Amino acid sequence: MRKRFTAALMGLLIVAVVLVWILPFFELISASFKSPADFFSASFLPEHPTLANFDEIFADPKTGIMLRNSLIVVTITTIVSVLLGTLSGYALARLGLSPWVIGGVVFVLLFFRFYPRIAMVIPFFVMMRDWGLFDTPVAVVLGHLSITIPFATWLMLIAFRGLPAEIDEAGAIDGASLPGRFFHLALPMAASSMATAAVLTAVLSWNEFLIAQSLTRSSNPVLSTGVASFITDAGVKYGSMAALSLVICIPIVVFALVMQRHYVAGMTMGAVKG
Amino acid sequence: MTTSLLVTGRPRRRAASPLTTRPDRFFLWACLTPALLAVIALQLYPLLNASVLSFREWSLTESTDPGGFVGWANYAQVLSDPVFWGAARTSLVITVCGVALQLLLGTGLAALLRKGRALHRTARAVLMLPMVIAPVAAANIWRLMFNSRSGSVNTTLSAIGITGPEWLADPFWSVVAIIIVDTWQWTPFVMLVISSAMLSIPQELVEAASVDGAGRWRTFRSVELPMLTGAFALVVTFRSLDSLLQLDTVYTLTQGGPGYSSYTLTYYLYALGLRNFEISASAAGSWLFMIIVTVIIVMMFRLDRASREATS
Amino acid sequence: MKTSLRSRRVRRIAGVLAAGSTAVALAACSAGTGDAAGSSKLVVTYMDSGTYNVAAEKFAPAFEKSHDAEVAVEAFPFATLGQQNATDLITGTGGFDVMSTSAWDVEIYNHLQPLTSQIDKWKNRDQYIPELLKDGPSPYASGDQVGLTYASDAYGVFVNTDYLPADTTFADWDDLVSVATGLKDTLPSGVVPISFAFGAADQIPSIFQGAYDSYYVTKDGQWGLDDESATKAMQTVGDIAALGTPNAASLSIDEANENFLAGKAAMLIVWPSFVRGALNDDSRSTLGDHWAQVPFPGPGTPALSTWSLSISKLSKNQDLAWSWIDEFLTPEHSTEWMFTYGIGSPFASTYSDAELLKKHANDLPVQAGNLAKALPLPLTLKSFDPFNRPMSEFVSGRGTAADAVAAIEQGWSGLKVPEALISTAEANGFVEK
Repeated sequence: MRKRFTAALMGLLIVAVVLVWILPFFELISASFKSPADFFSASFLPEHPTLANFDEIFADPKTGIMLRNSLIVVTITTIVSVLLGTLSGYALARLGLSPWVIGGVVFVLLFFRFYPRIAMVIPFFVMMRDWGLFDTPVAVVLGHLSITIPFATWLMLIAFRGLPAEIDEAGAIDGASLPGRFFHLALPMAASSMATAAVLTAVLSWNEFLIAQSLTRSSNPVLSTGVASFITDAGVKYGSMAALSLVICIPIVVFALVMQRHYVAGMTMGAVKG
Repeated sequence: MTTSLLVTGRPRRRAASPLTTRPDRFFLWACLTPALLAVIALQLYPLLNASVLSFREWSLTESTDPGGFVGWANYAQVLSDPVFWGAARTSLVITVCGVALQLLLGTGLAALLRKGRALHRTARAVLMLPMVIAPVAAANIWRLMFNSRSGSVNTTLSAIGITGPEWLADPFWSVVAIIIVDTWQWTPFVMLVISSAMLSIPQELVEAASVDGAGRWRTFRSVELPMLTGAFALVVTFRSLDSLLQLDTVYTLTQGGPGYSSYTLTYYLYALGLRNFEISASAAGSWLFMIIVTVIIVMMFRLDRASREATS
Repeated sequence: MKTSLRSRRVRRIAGVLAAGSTAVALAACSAGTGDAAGSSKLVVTYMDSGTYNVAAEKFAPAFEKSHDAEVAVEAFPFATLGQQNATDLITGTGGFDVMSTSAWDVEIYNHLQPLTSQIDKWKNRDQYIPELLKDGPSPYASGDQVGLTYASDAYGVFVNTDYLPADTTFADWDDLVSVATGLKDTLPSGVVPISFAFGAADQIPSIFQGAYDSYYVTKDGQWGLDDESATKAMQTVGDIAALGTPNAASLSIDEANENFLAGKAAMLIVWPSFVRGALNDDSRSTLGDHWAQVPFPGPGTPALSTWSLSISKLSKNQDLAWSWIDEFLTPEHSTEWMFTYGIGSPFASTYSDAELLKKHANDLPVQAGNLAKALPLPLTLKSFDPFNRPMSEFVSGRGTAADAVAAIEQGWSGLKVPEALISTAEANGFVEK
C-alpha cells in the first residue's frame, strides 16, 4: 500500500518536473500566435491571437529554400559523417596501434571538435571561394563535416573498442575474414552507437549558425540563419521568429524521437562496463 | 573488459595476432583513408592558416593581404587586454557553475526516471526536446521570458511574492540568466548519459547491497556512484568544452552586457574576428582559447585513467 | 536476434541511402543553377529589414528592363551586412557591385570607388540636403566621396502635446532635464517624464552626443574625451534614466516606444524612423495627433544614421553600378518611400513637399532641421564597444559618471584611429584644438 502511494507520488513529481522543464516550449507555441502588441503585456496566452506569423513564414518563398537547404545539408552531413566515422573508428580500433598513438589520435579528434569556429571561418571562406563552392549548400556541408567527422570517429572508436573481443575471436576462428567480421559482427553490435552519432551529428548540423551564415549569401540560407534574420536594428520580431522556430523544431524533434530508442543505449559509449 | 571512454588504456591484446593479416591491414587502412583525407583537407589548412596568421599583422586597417611577421605581438595584444581577462573569468564562472548544476540536476533526473515504465520512458523522451531546439531559438524564447515586466519568470515570481530582478540589465543576474539557459538546454544530455550508464549497472550488485541492509541512499553512494565515474568524466568534459564554446546564448540574450558583465571568451573572439575584423588578433586569441581546451582535455584524460585504476 | 537487428539495420540504411541520394541530386541541381545567360549582372546589398531591401526589390524589375541586365538583391540582417561587405572586400572576392554601407564600415572605405566625378555631374544634386554630402555624413576616403546616402535619420525628441506644447524648444540638455524634472510632479500617475531604451546599450551614446560638445580625438590622434565636459554629459545621461520608468535600464527600443505610444510618457528620445510609422497609425498609437517632434537640443549634435550606396573597387560593372545608384536615389523615390517604408529621405524637397507638410507639419520641418545638424561619431565598431559599455554599466547602477568616463578613456587607450577617420573627425570639429 505504502509502495503504491510513493509510486503515485513519484509519478506526479515526474509529470510536474517534465511540464515545468518544457514550459519554454509552451511559450514558443504561444508566442507564434501572438501579434506584436501582445509582447508588451504580461499574459501568457496571446490576447489578440493571429495566424499572421505563420502566413508570413509560409508565404515567403525563402522558407521553402531554407527548409530544402537545411535538409540537404543535414542529410549529407549525417550520412557522410557516420559512414566515414564508422569506417575510421573501426580501423583505429583494430589496427593495433600503441596506446600512446591512440591517445594522441583521440586528443586530436577532440581538439577538432572543440576549437572555436571563429578561428577557421575566414580561411574556410577563402577555401570555398577558391574551390568555386561558395554560397552553395555543399560549402556548409564541408564546414560541418570538418567538425562532425572527427567527432563521429571518436564515438565509433570507443564503441568498437567496447565490443567484447571474444565474439571477434570466435568469428576469426570460424574462418571469417576481417571485412566479413566487420560487416556481420561488429557493425550490428555497434548499431546503437551509430544511431547516437547520427543523432548528435544531425542536431549539431541542423542548429549550427556561425558557419552556415559565413559561407552563404542570401540566396542560399539555411533555417538557422533564417531565424537570425528576424533580429533587426530596431528590435526582434518575436512572433515571426517563434513561428519559424517552431517550424524548424519539428523535423529534428521527429528525427530524434524516432531514433531515441536506438541511441539512448549507444549514449553509454562504453563509459561503464560490467 | 573495462573500457576507458577516452580510450587511453592498453588494449586487451595486441592486434598483431592471427586476427589481422596483411590483406586485413590493407582493408583497415582503406577504411581509415577517406576520413583522414577529409580531415586533412577541411581542418588542417584552415588551422595552419590561422596559426600563421596569428604571427602576422592583419586587420582591416591594412589592405586585403596580410602584413609582415610580427612575432608574438598579437598574442601580447590579447593577453594585455583587460577585457580578455574579464571574459576569461566570466567564462570560467559560467562553465563551472553551469556544469556543476547540470551534473547535479542531470543525475537527479536520471535517478528519478530510471525505471522502464512507460511514464518514465516518455518523460525521458520529452526531456530531449530542449537539446534539439536551435540554440538561437531557445535563447530568444528565454529572452522573452526574462523580460522584467512582461516575461513569465518575473510574473511567476511575483505570483509567489518575490520581486524579480532586472534580469538582462543587471550585471549579476545576466550571468545567472546565461547559466539558467545553458542548464535548461543541456541537463537532458547529462541525464541521458547518466541514465544509460545507470542502466548498465548490474542489478545484482544493487540488490546484494540492499539485502545487506544498506539504505537506498547508502546503496547509491557506495555501489552505484563509483560505477558512474566514467560517465561523469565524459559528461563533465563534454559540457565544459561545449559551454566554453557556446556563442548563441550570450549573443542573443545579453550581447555581453550590461557593460562587460556577461562578456565571454567566445564573444570576445567573435567581436575581435567578425566585428572588428582583426583577423590575426582573433587567430592568436583562438589559440590561447585552445590552450585552455587542451588543459581541460588533458585533465580529463588523467581523471579518467585514475577512475579506471580505482575501479579495476 | 542478430538477424532481426541486421534486417532492421539494412532497411534503415537503405532508407537513409535513398534519402541521401535524393539530397545529393537536389544539391547537384541547386549548385547547377549558375549565372543566367544575360548581358550583365549586378549584385546589390541591402539590409534585410522589410524596408530597404523591399524598396530595392520593387525597383529592380524596372531597372532590369531598361538596362537589359540582371539584378540580384542580396539582403542581410543588420548584424551581418557589415560582415558580408567586409569579407567580400578583404578577401578580394568582388561578389558585390553596389553595397549598402554605413559609418561603421569606415575601415573598408579605401576599397570603395570614388564617386566625385559622378556626383559633380549628378542631376539630383541640387535637391539634396547639402550638409549630408559632406565628409562625415557621407563616406569619404582620402578626400573623395565614396558613397551616396539614400537613407538618413537624425536622433529625435518627441513630446506628447497633452503635457508639453508642440513648439517646445529646449535651450540645451540641461534645460530638457529641468523641464522634465518639473513635469514629474504634475504628471498623472503611471506617466513618466521621459521614455528611452537604456536596455539597448548602443543607443545610450546618442544622448551623450547631444549633451557633450567637445572633442572625441585628441591632439595626438588618439581617441579621448575632455574629462570635465564628458563627466557632465554622462551625468545628464544618468539624470535622464532617473526620469524614466523604474525598469528604464532594461527597456528595448520597442518597449520604450510603446510607453510613449500608449501615453505613458511625456517625452520620447529615439530614432524617428523607428517610431514614425506607429505614430501615424491609429491602431498602434493612442495619441492621435497629440504629438510633435521638437528640435534636438545641444550643445552637442544629434546622432546621424545613414545607409549609403557605394561601388566596390572590385566591381566589373562600374557604369551599371552608378546607373543603379542614379536611378534608385531620386527625389521622387525618396519622397514616396519616406512614408511607405519609413526610409528617411536625404532630399530637401521631401521636407518642403506641400502634400506631406499638410499631414506631417508636426514632424517634417524639425526632422529637416535635425538632419542638417546631425553628425556620425568618429568611431569604429572596435572603439564603439569601450564607449557604450561603460555607459550601460553606469546606467545599471555601477559607479559614478566620472568612473564611466575613466573607463571609456581606459578602454580607448592603445587603440589606433584609422587614417580615414582622422580627416573626417577634423572636418566635423571632433578633434581637440
